[in-house]
Amino acid sequence: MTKANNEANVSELETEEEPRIAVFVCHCGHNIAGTVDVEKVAESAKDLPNVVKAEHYMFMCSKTGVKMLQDSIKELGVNRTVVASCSKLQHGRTFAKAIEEVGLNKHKHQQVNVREFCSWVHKNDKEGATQKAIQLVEAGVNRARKLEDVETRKIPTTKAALVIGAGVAGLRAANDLAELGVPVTLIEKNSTIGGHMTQLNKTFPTLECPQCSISPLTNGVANHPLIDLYTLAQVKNVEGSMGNFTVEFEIKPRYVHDNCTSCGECSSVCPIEVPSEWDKGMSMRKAIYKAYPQAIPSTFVRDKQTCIGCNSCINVCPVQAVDFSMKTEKKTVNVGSIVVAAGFNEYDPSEIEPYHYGQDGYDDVITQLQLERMLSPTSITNSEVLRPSDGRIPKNIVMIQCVGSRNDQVGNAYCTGVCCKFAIKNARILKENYPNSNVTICYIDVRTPGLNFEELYKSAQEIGVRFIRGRPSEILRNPLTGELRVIVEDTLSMTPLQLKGDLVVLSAAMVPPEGIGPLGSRLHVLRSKEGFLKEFHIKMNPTLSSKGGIYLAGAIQGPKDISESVAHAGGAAALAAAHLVKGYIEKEMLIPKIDYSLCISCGLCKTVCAPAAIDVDQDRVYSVNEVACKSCGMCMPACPTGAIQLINFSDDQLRDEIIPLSGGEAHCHD
Amino acid sequence: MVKEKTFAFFLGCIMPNRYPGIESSTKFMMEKLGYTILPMERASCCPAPGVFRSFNKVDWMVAAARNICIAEQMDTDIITVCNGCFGTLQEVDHHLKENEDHKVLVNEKLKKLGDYEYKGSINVRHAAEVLGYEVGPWGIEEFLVRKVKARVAIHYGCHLLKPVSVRGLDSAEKPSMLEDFLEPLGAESVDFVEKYTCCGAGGGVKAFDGNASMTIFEEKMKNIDAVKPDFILSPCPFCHLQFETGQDWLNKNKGTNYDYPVIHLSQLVAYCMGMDQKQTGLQFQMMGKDYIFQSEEIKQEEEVS
Amino acid sequence: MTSSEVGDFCDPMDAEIKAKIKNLVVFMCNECGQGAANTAGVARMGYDAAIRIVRVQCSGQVGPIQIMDALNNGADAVGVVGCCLGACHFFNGNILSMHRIKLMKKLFKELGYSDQFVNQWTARAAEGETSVGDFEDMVDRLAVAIKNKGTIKDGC
Repeated sequence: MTKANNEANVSELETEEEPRIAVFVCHCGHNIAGTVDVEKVAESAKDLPNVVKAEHYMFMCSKTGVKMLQDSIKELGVNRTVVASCSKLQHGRTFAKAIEEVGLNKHKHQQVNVREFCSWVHKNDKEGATQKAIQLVEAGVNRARKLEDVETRKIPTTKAALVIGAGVAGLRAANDLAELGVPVTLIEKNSTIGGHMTQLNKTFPTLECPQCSISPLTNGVANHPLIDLYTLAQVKNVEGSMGNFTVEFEIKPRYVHDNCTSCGECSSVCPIEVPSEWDKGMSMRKAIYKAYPQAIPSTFVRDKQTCIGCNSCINVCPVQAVDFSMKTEKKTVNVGSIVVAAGFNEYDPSEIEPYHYGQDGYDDVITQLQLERMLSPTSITNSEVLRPSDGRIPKNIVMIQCVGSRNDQVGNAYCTGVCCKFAIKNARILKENYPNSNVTICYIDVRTPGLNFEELYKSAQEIGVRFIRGRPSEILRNPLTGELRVIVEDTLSMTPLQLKGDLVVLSAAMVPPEGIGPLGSRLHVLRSKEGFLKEFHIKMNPTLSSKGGIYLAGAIQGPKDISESVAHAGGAAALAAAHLVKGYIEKEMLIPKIDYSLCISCGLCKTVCAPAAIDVDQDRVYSVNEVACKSCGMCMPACPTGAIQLINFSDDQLRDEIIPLSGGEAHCHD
Repeated sequence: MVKEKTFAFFLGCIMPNRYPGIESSTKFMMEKLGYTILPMERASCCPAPGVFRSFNKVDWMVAAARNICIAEQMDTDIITVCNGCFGTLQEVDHHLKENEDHKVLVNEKLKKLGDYEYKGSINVRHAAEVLGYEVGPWGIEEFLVRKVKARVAIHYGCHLLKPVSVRGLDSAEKPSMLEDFLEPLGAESVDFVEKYTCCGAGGGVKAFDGNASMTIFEEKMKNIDAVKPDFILSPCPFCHLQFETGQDWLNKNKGTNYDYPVIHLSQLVAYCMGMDQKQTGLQFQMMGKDYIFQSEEIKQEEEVS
Repeated sequence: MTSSEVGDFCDPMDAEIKAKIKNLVVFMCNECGQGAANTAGVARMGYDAAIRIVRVQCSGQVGPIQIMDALNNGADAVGVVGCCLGACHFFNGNILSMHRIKLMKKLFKELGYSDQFVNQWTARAAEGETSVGDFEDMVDRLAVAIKNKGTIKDGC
C-alpha cells in the first residue's frame, strides 16, 4: 500500500455518515434471561447516544430474529448493529451475513457476548450479571459507533510457482503443480536431482529399488513442458507476498555445456581424485564428474575447488562441451507460490565422542547411509559389505540406534522415527546376504508403526538378527589389535556386554539441511527450535509455513520417510495451486493504516511484525503489505506515536469499549 | 587480587602420610619453575569425594569450603597433586561460585567453625594442568636437565578430567594433556586397551568392597601388562597407592608377577629437572624398587643472540 | 509475591475488600483467550462478576495505552490473557506481551504503586478451568495488594 493510498483512506473516514445503531438483546430462552434482566438491559441501551432502536427478543438467531435485524436497517436507516447474545464464534457470522444481505458491510456488526461471558458464569449473582451486561452492551454500542467498512478484495495472482529442492518431495510437488497447469521453476542446489532417495539401496517395507521408483518422476519432471529445472541453483532474495513473489536466484557455473553426451572421457583423463560426496566417501570421484551413472541432468560437472586447470578434459571432449569460462548466472522469476522442499541432512556422529566416528583407527565405524552406498548395485564394492579398514567381510556387525536422536547431550531430544525401520531393513538384508555373520541391533525402543512394519521387524527376528535393548556407552578400540568392541548393557537381562564389532553401523538422525538458516531468513519464515521450518499448525495445517504463500514439502518440516514426504508434498502442492488456479486471493482488508503525519520512520512496527508484512522503501517510507498482513495488531503498541492503527481495532475504538467496562468514572489524574 | 606465581600447597592425606617423596618432588619442581609454594596451616582432609560426599553432601561442602577459605585468607590459589583433592575442592569451589543459595547455607555453617567466610576469590588448580597448559611442553624444555628414555603407561584417573562440564580441562574420551607434556621429557606414551578406566580405588569402592576394587584393578593391570611399559605414571596418590598395593595383592592372591614401578607425575618431572632419583623416594615404594631411570643429560645450548 | 505476602484468605477483612472490587478488565486474545472463556462459559463454570472481557486480535496487541485507559477510567486491575507458549496464532505475540506486561509491572512499582495492577496469564482454548482459576487469581492478588500497598484509587 503506498503512502498516497493511505492518505486517501484517512480523508474518507472524516466524511463518514452519522451512526445510527440498533441494539437487540437476546433471551436465548432461559440461558440469558434466566440470570440477566434482559428488559432492563434493553432499556438502558435506549438512552445511549446514536441508538435509534433497542429491543429484546426470545431467539435472535431464529428467522424472526434475523428479520428484526434486517428490518431495522431497511426501515430505520440503521447503519450499525449490536446483538447482545451468545459468542462471536457461535452466531457472529450469522448476524454479519444477515446485514450483508441487506446491503451493509458485514464488518458493521458488533457481537456482544452476554451468555458465555455473563449469564452462564454468574448464575448466583443475578444483580452483578445484569449490571455487567448493561456495561457490556454500552461497550458494544461504543465500539459499533466507530466501526468502518472493511473491504474484501480480490487480488490477482501470478500463475507460476517456485519449488526449492529437487528431492523426492520437491519433485512430487513440482510434478503435481505442473499437472494442474501451473508453470514451475524447480531449483536444486546440488548438481543432480533426486536427493537422498537416490543414495538408498532399497526402500522399506517392500525392499524396492529406489532408483527404479523415482526414475519416472525424475524423468517426468526433467521433460515436463511446464517445468524449468535449474541445478546448482540457490535462492538469493525474495520479495513480495502470497500471490505475487519476486524471487532472485543464483546459478553456479557447471563448466560443461548442455551438449555433453555423458561419454565420460573427461573423467577418465582427469588426474584429480577426491572422496565422492554423493557416495558418502565410500568411493572417489574426479574433479570433473557425474555424481552417479543414472544422474539427471546427465551433463557432467566440474568442481572448481579441486580442479588444477590442466585442461586435459577440454582437450579430450569430443563435442567441446567443457568450458572453463562459464560464469555464475542470476535469474529472477515472478511466482504466486513458493514450495520449500529443501530436505534434510544425515546427522554427523563425530560430535558424539565416545563413538569415535571419523577418528583414526575407527574406519569401521560408519553410518547407515554409508552402508546403503556399499550395498547398492553400483557401489565400488560391487554390493558387498566390506570393512573399510581391510576390505574383508565383517563377521560381526553391530548397529547402534538413536545416534543424534533422543539425545539431550547433543541437543536433539526428538525421535527421528525412521531409523528403526531402516536399520531393521538393512539388518535383514545383511543377514540374508551373509547368513554366517552375526547382526546385532542395540536399541532403546523399537519403533515400527504402520502397515507392514511390525511384520518387517518380526521377519528380521526370525532370520536371526539379534536385538539388544541398551544404548551403547562407547566403542572401544584395542590399540594392539585394532579390534573394535561395542560396550553396551543388555538392560532386559541386566548383563553388561562387550560386543565384537567388525563393522559398527550408526543409525544417525535426520537433522535440518545445511544452509537452512540463510534460506529461512530470506523467505521470512519461522523455524522450530530443532531447526526445521515451522508449520502453520501442527495438526490442521502441516504444509503451510508461517508466511502465506510459502508451503513446506517433505522432511524440511520435520523428519519423515519417503511415503510421508510424498504425501506431505502432494498436500503442499494442492495448497500452493489453489489461489493460482483460481486466479485471485480473496482477502478481508483488516489491515492497519499508517498516519504519515505521526509516523517518524523508526521502523519498530517492522521489527515486531512476525509475517514480515511491513515494507520500507529507500526514502524510509513505511507501508503495509496488504496481502501478507495477518491482522494481529502487534504493530500498534510498538509504535511510539500511535501512527499505525489496525482498522476497527484502533486505540481510540478500544478505548471506547474499555471505558464502560472499567466502571466509567474517570480518575482525578492530571 | 591473588598473588601471582604463588600457590597454597594442599597436601591431602595419602601423600604426606604414605608418599612424602611426591611432596618433596612437587616442591622442588614448582620452585624451580619459579613458583612460590606456601604451606596451608590448619588444612584438613579435603574431604574425599567418594566416601564423605555420599554420606553428607552439605557437610562435605562445608569442610571443603573451609579449606578453600584458608587459601582465600592467604590470597593465593590452591595447588594440589591429588585427583581426589582436586575433585572435591575444584567442584565445591565451582558449585559455590554458581549457586548463591548453597553459598549462603555453607557460610552460615562455616561461622560455627571459626572466622571463616567463603568468598569465591581464588581458584583451585592441579599440578598436572598447571604443567600441561600453563607451563606447557613448550615451556618445560628450558628447565630440563635430563631426559628419560621410557615407555610409559599413562593413567589419568577419574577426577582430574571429569565431569568435563565442571573441570573444563580436556576431553575425557581422548585426552592429550599429559602425553603432550611428557613428550619433551622423553616419556613415550604407550596405548593400551581401556586406557581411561578407573583404577578401582576411588568412589568409596576400595573402602566398601575390596573384592570389587581388585576385580576392576586386575583387569586394568592385565591390559597394562600386555604392553609391557617401563613404568606406570599417574597424577594421583590414591591411584598411586592402588597401583602399588594392588600389584602386591594380585601377586599374593592371583599368582601374578607384577613389578611395575609406579611414578607420580611430580616425581618424574622433578627428576628431569635435576632432582636426584633418591630424593623422589622411589626406593621406598613397594613396586619397582630396583628401577633406575634410564636418562640422558641434556646439554643446555648457548643462546644465540 | 512470597508466601508471606499472600496471607490468610479466610480473613473476613478479605471478603470485605473483594466486595469492593467491581471492575476487572481482562484482554483476551482472539484464539486461545476467547476459546478458554467460551469453554468456561459452555461448562457453566462460575467466577466473579467483576471480570469484564475485551476481545483483542492478539495479546501482543495490548499495550500501555489500553492498560492505562482501563485503569484511568475506573478499572481496579487489568489482566492480559494470551495463548500458551508455542501456540500463538501469530507466532510470538504472547511472548511480546509477556515482556511488555513485565515492564509495566516494574514501572508501577517504581512509581510507588502496587505491581498487581496488571498481570499476564496464558490460556489454552480447551482449558476453561485454567482461565477461571486465573480470574480468581487476579481477584486474590488485587485483594492482597490493596491490603498491603493501597491502590491508585486510595492514593488519589
